[in-house]
Amino acid sequence: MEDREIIGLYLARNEAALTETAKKYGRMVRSVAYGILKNEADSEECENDTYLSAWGSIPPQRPTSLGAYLGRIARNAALGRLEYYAAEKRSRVLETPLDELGDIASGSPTPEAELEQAELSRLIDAYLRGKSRAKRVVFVRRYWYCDPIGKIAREQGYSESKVKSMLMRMRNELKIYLERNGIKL
Amino acid sequence: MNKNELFKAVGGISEELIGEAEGRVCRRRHVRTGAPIAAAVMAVSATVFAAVNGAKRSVHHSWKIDYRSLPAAERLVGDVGFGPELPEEFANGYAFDEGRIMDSENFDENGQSIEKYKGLSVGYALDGDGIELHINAAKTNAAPDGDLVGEYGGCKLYYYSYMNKFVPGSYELTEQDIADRDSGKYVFSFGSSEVEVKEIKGLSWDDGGERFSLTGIDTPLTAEDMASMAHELIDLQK
Repeated sequence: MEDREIIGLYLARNEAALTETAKKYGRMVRSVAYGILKNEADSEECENDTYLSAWGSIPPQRPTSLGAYLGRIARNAALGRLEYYAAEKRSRVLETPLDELGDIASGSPTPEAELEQAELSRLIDAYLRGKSRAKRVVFVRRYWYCDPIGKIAREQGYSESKVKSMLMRMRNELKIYLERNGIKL
Repeated sequence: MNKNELFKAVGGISEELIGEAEGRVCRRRHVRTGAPIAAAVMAVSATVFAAVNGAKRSVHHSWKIDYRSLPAAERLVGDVGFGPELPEEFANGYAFDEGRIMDSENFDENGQSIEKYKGLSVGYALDGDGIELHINAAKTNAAPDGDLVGEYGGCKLYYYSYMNKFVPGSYELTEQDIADRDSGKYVFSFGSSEVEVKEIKGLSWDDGGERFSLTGIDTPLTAEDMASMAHELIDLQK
């Protein structure tokens, strides 16, 4: 079913919207959540939270890309769960995309974080557009879709070590790029 | 800033980049049409035109995709000032992928701007290969680049093919690079993210006051294939 048809179901408050959403995007949502949480049970709960959040926000939201909209909700939900575990000192985290980003951003939360986030997203977007499509896809698959390194390597035709080195170089370049644009990491 | 904040910010990148990476397996041996290819073709076009026409041409385009579906001629008249008829799909299967509006500017030998005008960059794709169709309102009496390879519908067709070495903006040419450039082995284009050598093929012609150019990078299309596509485009304009 096309996104606009699924969104139409949401707008009509037809619960078939959730069935169709799960059918089309369930795998992606679970994959994104699992990439962060590394736990099946938590990922499933996160998936349910995502659908609930979508049901509660459409309308008034009318996303142009339902996949991107759901992915963002799933990422934030998974991150929120991770932060809860960290606060409760329940260590569930193995090596994740989040940990890799910690290489370049290991400081304290900034008070202006919310204000900066939109600007930061814009700068990251601009940085990525200056890279080749191949590198862009690897970065986005790892840090947006939270794909495992092995999956990225298989799908993009690289060795795992190549993917790791590409990501490390891009993280370091991103850090320099952001700092040159006034973002303190 | 901590990693959670950075991670959240990655979540806010544009839908275009998210969609680009969504569920697509990149075939690294094939070049796909899209922003990076369009950018590469821009660099190629500017280099070639600068070398041949005397006057220098600079082409700028935004990353934004202006047309995700085939634009009608009437709309193009409003957007760029001219309205070519475009095929949804060529007979060889290359189908419309996306289109962008280009801002072009010609400079004289002293770097003074002579004129500015808009053009079109339309991508067609098939099985992972991409080819760009550029259309500009012709502002020069000089013939298109390349060798005259035929004539169709009153339009002379010019074809060229060469090896292009793409290098980063900060790249310094080695002695070998200079020798390769001077011998004509490579044409150099600056501004890519990494060093790559690719074969460039192009077919150009003037029709009704507009210059059409088909450009492929590492494309399996032959000169004859591109000529057939040119014939279809020429027929569409009648």
